[in-house]
Amino acid sequence: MNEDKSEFLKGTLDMLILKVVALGPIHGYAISQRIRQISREFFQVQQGSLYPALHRLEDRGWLRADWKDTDTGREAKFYSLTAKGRKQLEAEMRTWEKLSDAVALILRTAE
Amino acid sequence: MKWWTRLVHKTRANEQLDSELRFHLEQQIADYISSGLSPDEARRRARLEFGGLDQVKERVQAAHRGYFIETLLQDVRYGLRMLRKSPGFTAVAVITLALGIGANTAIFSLIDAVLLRTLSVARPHELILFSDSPAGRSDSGIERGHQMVFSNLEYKYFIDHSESFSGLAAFQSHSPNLKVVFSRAQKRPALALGRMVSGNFFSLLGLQPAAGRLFSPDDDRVAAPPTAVLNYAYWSREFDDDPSAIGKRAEINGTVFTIIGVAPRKFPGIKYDHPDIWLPIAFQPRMMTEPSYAEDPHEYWLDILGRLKPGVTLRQAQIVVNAQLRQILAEQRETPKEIAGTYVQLAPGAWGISFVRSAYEQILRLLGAIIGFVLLIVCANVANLLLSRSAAREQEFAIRLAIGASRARLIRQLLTESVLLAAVGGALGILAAHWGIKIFAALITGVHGRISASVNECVLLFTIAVSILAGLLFGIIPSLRATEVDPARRAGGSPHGKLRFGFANGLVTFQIAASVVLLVGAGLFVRTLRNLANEQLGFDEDHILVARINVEAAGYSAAQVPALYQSLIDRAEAIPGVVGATVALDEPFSGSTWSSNFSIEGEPPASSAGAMVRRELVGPDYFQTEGIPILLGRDIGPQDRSGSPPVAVINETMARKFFHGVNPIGKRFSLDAPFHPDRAITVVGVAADARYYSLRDAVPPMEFSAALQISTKDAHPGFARTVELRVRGNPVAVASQVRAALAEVSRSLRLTHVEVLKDEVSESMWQNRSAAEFSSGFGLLALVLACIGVYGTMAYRVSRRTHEIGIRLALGATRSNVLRLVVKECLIVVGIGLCLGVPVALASTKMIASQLFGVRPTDPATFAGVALLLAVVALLACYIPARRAMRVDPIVALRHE
Repeated sequence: MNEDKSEFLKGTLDMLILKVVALGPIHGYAISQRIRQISREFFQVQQGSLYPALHRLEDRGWLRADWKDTDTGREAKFYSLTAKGRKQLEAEMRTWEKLSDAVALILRTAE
Repeated sequence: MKWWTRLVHKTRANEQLDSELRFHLEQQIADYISSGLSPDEARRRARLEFGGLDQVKERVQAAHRGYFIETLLQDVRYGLRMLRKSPGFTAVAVITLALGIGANTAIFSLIDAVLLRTLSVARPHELILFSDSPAGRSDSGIERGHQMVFSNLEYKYFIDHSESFSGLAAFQSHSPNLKVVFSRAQKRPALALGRMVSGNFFSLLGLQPAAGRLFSPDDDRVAAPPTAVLNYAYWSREFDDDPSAIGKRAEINGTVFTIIGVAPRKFPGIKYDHPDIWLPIAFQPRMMTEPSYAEDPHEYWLDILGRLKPGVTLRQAQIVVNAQLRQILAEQRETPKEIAGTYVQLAPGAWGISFVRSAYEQILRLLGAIIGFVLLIVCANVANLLLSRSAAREQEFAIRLAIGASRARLIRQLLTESVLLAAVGGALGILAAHWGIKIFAALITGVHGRISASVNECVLLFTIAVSILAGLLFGIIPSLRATEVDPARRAGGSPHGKLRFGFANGLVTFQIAASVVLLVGAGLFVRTLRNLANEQLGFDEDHILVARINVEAAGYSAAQVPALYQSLIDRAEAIPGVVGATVALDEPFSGSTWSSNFSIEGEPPASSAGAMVRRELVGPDYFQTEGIPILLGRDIGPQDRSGSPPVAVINETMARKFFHGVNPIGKRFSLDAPFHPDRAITVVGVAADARYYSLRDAVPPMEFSAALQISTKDAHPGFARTVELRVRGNPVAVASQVRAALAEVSRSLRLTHVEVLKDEVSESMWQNRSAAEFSSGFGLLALVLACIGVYGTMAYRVSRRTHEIGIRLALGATRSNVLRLVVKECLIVVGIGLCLGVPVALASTKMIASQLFGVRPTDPATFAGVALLLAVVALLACYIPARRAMRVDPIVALRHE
């Protein structure tokens, strides 16, 4: 596992989690799997980062957690997005787009 | 789960986190198995990837909001466990802290009640008084200089020219007794305390009525229907809180008033004297049965109160008001000297005019400083205890540091423990403060407990803040010290490190320095008290018994009074053991003063312009009874009765100051200016100076008029208020006989109290006595604490140096060498403490200079005595550790390692 890759840009992990959770109620393990699959194995979220982030987002009221049964009949903690979380996600995505546009512009123009 | 519920349901939160993380791990294992790994391999890979379950859990918890509180609770639990483990240490620390914090809480409660609490009026900090001094007000005439009471004309002038004030109001300076009749059925009028106020008085203060309405400017006109406002307590007492009292009529001093309202319960009056009835000042002529003061420039009877305009400072207003006052005086054609010498001292009005405040401010500040000092010493002591305890916990800290606790975390843990100690001490301190307040108030005010205080929210906040601060203060150094050394060396546990001067010695030095300050203060106050007690008073205070009577309340008319005095004197002199009796207005040191301006016949008015004489009314044989020698002429005698020409005895100071060496006997003066032949009084005697008002101040000029000659129209008090008896032997023995005998003379004459004059005089020294008692009590406490500090530190250091001393002895050092070693260190500590303490003491005693008498604040004998005392006591305290050091057996000491 490449250390460089696993280091997220500050704040990025929160946005990715919010985005993944936005698709529907989901538990922690699935979130890490989903991020890994969608990023084509680029991002590997460490449990030591994922769970503190989840709890932090829950504390802030952006995520809601419910204990529900999984398909296999086990009880797991499912996270879902709150209205406040959705607003936060939109705000973060806008910032992110501006940021990446700006970076892309510099990279193109400076060539 | 909300973060605060997590604090409450700690176990459930923990279990949930556990199962969340376990679920993740198991899911991962299941995935690996389904991707073809063997179950063992799947489990191994998953665990490896996951990392330590506990580490992850800790990181999650650290991300939680409220994590700080969580760990704080943890620290508190741990701290409590540690304190329980060493009950002896905990008990000593908590008890000393409880006493220290309790004393501070008690004194702060008193300071809060007396000095900090403002009048409960709207925006009290805008209020300005045209003098906040409760003392020195004269009833007739005015002492030029610092003007405190004002005439109607002056008040009106200030209103017409009030540039600095958004409003001015006035109230009568003293509160006379009013004769009140509520109903026909009442046989005799009841006496009530009255106060006349201007129509805007209540509205200026922003007060709301408890019932009915308060005065408006329309009520304060000469032609207005007479209206009265009752004080809340008076309303409760007389009308049982009944609102139907509003609209009732009451005959007050012969005029029928309508009661229009009740003042708010929390308003005690600007002077805190709880007047029963408030009346508009327009009714002054009818209330006093005197001509109107409205246009009289020489009747000074009003206190003035104002609200500053926004943006105007007290100093600006002061300049304006004084300029206006000079203008008034110039218009009244006063002499330039008089105009230049008269001024108004504006004062903040938020606290009103409080006798209690002015009487006890100084001593309360002094006590606050002393007790604050004591708390610092207590903190130093607890810090010392903590230091020696942290030596015992070295192993624990070393292990905790070794297994990865950060130093900051450890310091936090230790500070939590010390704040915890202080908190427990503070909680007990608040309990102790309930008694402390009573004890301190009694010590400060003497027998007339005039201060009432309690632990309120403000005090509680103070105590909490003090406890936390104290905890941090005494905890910080030991916690830094305990966590200082690297774990590898600490774990070994052997104290081979070089012993530096050290924190412990620093603390002891501080304690000694603080003791110097307190003990020097105590020494100076004790000497002051002794000097005051040795002052010659000029009368025979040991053998004089004073009985207070209230002729006015008993309903005697002016015509009946001379006969009453005579029968009181005759009856008193018939008591066995009584050698003489007389009557007087007030006894010496009664606390009340009566002064007047005066002028001498044939002298130019300028010679006594602005001069004041203190007045006293005395009965026959007064000076013989009091034991005051007559230097020239004669005593007041029974022949000086109404009808005969008015006479007076003057004191030596008055004779010297105003008669310039001429024999004053036969000279005449009058108690007004210029000299008025119709009211002339002839001097018949000169009495030796005696102290009537103060032990410290020079004796003022005094005149003693014959009480039997005073007509009621002439003088405000008019009646004698005391019967004074000279007794052979112990006056206390006949006190009850006197009480009974005087009651026989007149049933209605209420005997308010019977007291030995000496006790009244010593009561006037009460504040000096309490300053001396407090400072010596707490000085001794400081000395004892410093002593314990020296002993504890020396004993600790000797025990740490046993090994070193053993080697020295083995190498040939003598026992006396060892003794010198320990004593030298002790002397260095004491020496540094003295060097630090003496300059601080010099600076502090300067602040109490005005409270001293007959001793200078830099008194070398006191300083030297304190230094010597501390040195001797400290040497005694280090004697036991030094002896232990001498007895060290080199072989045992060396084998010990």
